[in-house]
Formats: sequence, structure tokens, C-alpha cells
Amino acid sequence: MVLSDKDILRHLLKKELVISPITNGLQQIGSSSLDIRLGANFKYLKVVNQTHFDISDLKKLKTQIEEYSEDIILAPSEPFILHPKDFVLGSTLEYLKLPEFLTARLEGRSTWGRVGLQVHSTAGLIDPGFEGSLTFELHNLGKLPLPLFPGTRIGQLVFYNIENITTLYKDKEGSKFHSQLGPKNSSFYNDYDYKNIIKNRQNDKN
Amino acid sequence: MNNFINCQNFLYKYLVLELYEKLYRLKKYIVTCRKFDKKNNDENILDLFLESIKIIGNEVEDLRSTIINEISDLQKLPISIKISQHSKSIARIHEELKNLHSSWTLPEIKTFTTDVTRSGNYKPQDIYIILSDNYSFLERNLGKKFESTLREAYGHLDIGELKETHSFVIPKIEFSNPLNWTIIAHESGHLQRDNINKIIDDPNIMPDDISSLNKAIIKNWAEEIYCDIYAISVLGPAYFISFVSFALLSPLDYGLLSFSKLHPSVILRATIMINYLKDNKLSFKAEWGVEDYSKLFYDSLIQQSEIFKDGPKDTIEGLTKFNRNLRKLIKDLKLNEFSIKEIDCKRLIDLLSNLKEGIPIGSVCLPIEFDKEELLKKDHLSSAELNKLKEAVTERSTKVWEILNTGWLYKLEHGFISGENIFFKDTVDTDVMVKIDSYGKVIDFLDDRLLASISSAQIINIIENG
Repeated sequence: MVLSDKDILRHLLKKELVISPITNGLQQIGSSSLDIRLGANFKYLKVVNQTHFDISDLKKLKTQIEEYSEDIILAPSEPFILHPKDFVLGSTLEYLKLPEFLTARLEGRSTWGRVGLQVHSTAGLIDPGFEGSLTFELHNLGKLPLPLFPGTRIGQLVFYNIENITTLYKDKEGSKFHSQLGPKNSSFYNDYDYKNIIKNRQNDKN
Repeated sequence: MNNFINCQNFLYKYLVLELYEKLYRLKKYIVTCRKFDKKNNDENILDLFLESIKIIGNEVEDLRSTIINEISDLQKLPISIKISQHSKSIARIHEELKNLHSSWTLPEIKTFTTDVTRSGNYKPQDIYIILSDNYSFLERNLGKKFESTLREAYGHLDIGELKETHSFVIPKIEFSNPLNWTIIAHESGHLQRDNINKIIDDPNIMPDDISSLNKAIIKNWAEEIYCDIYAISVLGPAYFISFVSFALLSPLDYGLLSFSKLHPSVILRATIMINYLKDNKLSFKAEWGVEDYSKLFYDSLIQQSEIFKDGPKDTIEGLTKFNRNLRKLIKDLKLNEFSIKEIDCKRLIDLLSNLKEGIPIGSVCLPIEFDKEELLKKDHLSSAELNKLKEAVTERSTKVWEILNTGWLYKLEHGFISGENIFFKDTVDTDVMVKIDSYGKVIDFLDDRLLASISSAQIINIIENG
């Protein structure tokens, strides 16, 4: 069941749900959602001087992915200009802690959707027990460059009750983004199944 | 309240952990250089730094093993000298950072510096941050410097006045350490010329009980002390603890009882500061849940000065009148904007508990003045009642003094306990670099959260107040 404003407030006031900062409860809390803001840290995926990802060596792959992204930290009143078709990882200004009985979905706000801003491509689900800032997968689908300032309300969270959870996100084997601050690079190479695929390819070659 | 402060050989363990922290910060800077500018930073040069860190780390390890057991009074001087020597070695390796390419600074340093600088009467429009190879904090007006260089070379030209620029110079390895940015607050005190002139031009500033010091020296000293007090008026005990930490770590460089033409002795400065903290209710109180760490650090300083005996003992006594008059003049300036009350201590404890849970502390909830439980029990809420609850979850941005003092509380009460476990309770003979990296995780945890807090507090100010 989707949580109402009163339910969201109850969990916040009882400190079962942590979202910090909420700078303006009147503006941020809607009837069934809570607006979240853009933080100052970005990871820009740049064009690099490499012809391909080297999947023969997972260590190399990790280095390549790190080189593929550039850290950008904005001063508080400095905008990030997201050009049409461009893609960047951002993060929420808020630090979030979900209890074991809530799950949440990250959604965009129509105000920004109407000018072409997409806040996530595919990863909108937040597991119970997650702690940290959320990563935005920012994509400009419009035709105008978008000036994105830290603190802008670009997304919203919708909360759902969930029962009978046995494993929280932080306790799950392989959970990679627990307690993160700022956007983190993908580490798909750390997924056990991806590792096995690479291992299998290497065995085949040998 | 905590185990570390009360542990055996607290002071020496604290200082050894500070050395390890500096080594980790040196490594962090180098790794960041590699990350940001891989093309221009030669791996061989980077490896030289890493090798040096390991060598110094192993030397500090020898010292560490002496401190694990109880130490006699006779051992204190040689231990203190060794600590200072290691600190000097780190500063020398730090100077070699000039051989690395780096052209980035974190925007949080500028946010912080702007904040502490604008707390005074003089509010410069622009400030610049320069990361320096020397381990020193400075404030520079490059416009004036260029003027004097050009006048010296081309005296026949009418150079005129060049535009004032205010640059703050920060040691490279402190690039991500807000707890030591406190020294910037002292440096920004030098910009408050109106206040400084009021003090140094006042005839009462000249003590008639000191004949050996000329007027220029007294004026220099008065300016330095004013800047200390300015920093305390902006940041409270966080500045004092940071200042004493620096002095204790490098007594061979700074001296504790000795003075120079530009700076009064560390002891004199610390004594005036601790009196100011007490007079202006800027100390923590144990009964409010936060130990008076300033007092603990001051006592450690006195203890060390007795071991060092590095200068004339009558420095403090001889300057009684100077001290008294200066304090009165500073008091007349009505500098301090806050005092620490029970409610502030309570708020800091709440912030500390958030920090322990990993939550950045750029914001804090306002006290709720109604019965929230009553409202939450109701089946139907009016729109006014709902709005009341929404206002109750709204947070205000934290002030920079709240962030830094909470940060110091975290470091003293939690960070060093982790450090003690890593370095002083290690039963297996772990490699020093592994231990330094392990301590680095504790340091990074705090750095990251404090940086996020400084940035977030400023963002909140902008979005809510314009």
C-alpha cells in the first residue's frame, strides 16, 4: 500500500524513516510522496581514449570504468548544465534510511519531466534497510540544455509498506551501495554471476 | 564519558595517532593526484612518496611500542622530541608535493572560508584558495605583494594601487580535513583591519611592565591574539583544540614557551583563549553531556611546556597587564555571536548521534513545541494540523561552528577509539601501511560527512533564504 502524507510524517517523526535534510516540509511532502533534491556531486561519463572495455581482466575493467568517469563537485550556487542527450550520475542532497517495513520508488517530478529531464533510467527501486544518498541517472531527453543547481527538487519518493522481510539491503550479500555518499560508479564486474561469465570465457579460451 | 581520553598515556597516543593521520592524508593526497591527473603524474614519483610514507610509518611504529606501556617522567621529553621530529619529516615530505601536478581544490574549502570570513565586519567579495606545498596556513593579499615587488623594481613608475585579492593558503594534505580548516578562521581575522587597528592603536595596549619588547612587537602580538579570539568567536572550542593540537605535535617548530617578533608564545595565546572561552560561556560542560575538551587540551599543553622548558618562564607573568588590557579591548569589540548553552550541547549530542550513524549534519530539526503524539493518534487531520506536522519535520541548516564542534567530538570520542584499537591493541604484527589504510577508512568516513555537511548547509541556506 502506498503511504499517505500522514503515514510518511508519522515514520519521520518517530525517526523510523530518516530523510535528511527536509528543508521545507510544507513544500516537499505531497499527499503520497516526498520531493527530493539534487546534491552537489556528479560523475560525468566522459569519452575516453580506449577502444573497448577489457573484459579479460576484471581489475583492469574496474580501472577502466573509473577512468571513464570524472568526478565533479559543484559549489553551492553553481549549476551543472546537462546538454540534450547527455547522461550524468548525480545524487540526492538527502541521506536516506529506510526501515525494514518500507520500500520506496524514485520518480521524477513532472515539472522537470516536461523539459525532458529523466532522473533514472532503470534503477528506481529502493530496498528496505537501504542507507545512503540515492544516485540519479540523469538524462536530458529534451532539446534545451538544462541548468541543474544543487538543491533543486528534481525527484520524488513514493513509499510502500512491505511485510515479512528477512534480509535487509545492508545485510544482503553483494550490496554495493550501502552508506554511500554521492554517486558511485557501476561495479557490475563485482556481481558474482558476471564474474562467473568472465571466468567461463577464460576457461573456454584456455 | 569515553574511554580514550581517560586511557593511559592519552596525550602521547593522541599525538602518535595524529602522526598516522598526517601520513594517511599524505597518501590520500597522492592517490587523489593520481586519480585526477594520471597523465602528468609519473608513477615512479608517486611511488617515492608512498615509500617515504612507509618508512616514516615504520619509525612511528617504534615510538608507538614505547607508548603502549606506562611511561616515566624521564621518558616524556625524548618521546615528545621524537614526535616533533616525525612531524617535521612529514612536513618536509609535504614540501616535495611541489613535484606533483595538481590544480584542483574542493569547493567546500571555499564555502567554509567564505562563511568564516564573512562573519566579521569586513566582508570581501571574492576569496581564493591556494593549496600549498609548505605545511602552513596563511592569508595573502596578492595585490599588495605585487605592488611592493613592482615598486622595488621600478621605483620611477607610478604603480598606483593594485586590486586587493584575498587568498588563503592551505597545506595540500589538509585539502579534505575540515577539522583543521579552523586555522583559516584565524587567518581571516587578519582581514578585519578596522577591529585590529582599534586594538593596536589604543595606547592601553602597551604594557609598561615589559621593557624588553618594542611597540612593533606588541602590535604584532596583539594582532595575532585578536585573530585567535576572532576564530574562537566564529568557531568556539573547535578552533582552540585544533590550535593546541598543532602546537603539541610540533613543539620543536612552534615552541611552547618561546616567542618570536611576530608571534607571542603558544602558552600565552592558549591562556588568553581559554580565558575568553570561559568568560564568554563558550565551553562545554560535563553535566550537559559534553566534556570540556578545551580544558583537557590546555592541561596537556601546560604539562608539555613543563617538560620542554624551552623559553623564559616569566613570559606569562610579565605580560599580565598586556593580557588584561588586550582582553578588555577585545571585549569592547563585542565579537562573539554565540555562547554555548545547555540546549546547544543537547543539539550537538543529537548531531553527534546522527554522525555516528553516518548521516551528514548539514541540517538539524527545530524543537517541537506541541504534542505530536496527540496529532498522530487522530484519524482525521485538518489541513492546518497536517501542516503543523510538516513544519515539525522541517530542518534548518546547521552553523559552521555546530558542524566543526560536532566533528571534533566525533574525532575525540569515536575516531580515536578506533585508532587506539588499530594501532595500540594490535596483537598480530600487521604491516604499518595496512594499519594506516585501516585508520584511513575512519578518517575518510568523518571527512566525507563533514564535507557533505558544509556543502549541504550552504545549499539549504541558498534555497530557503535566497
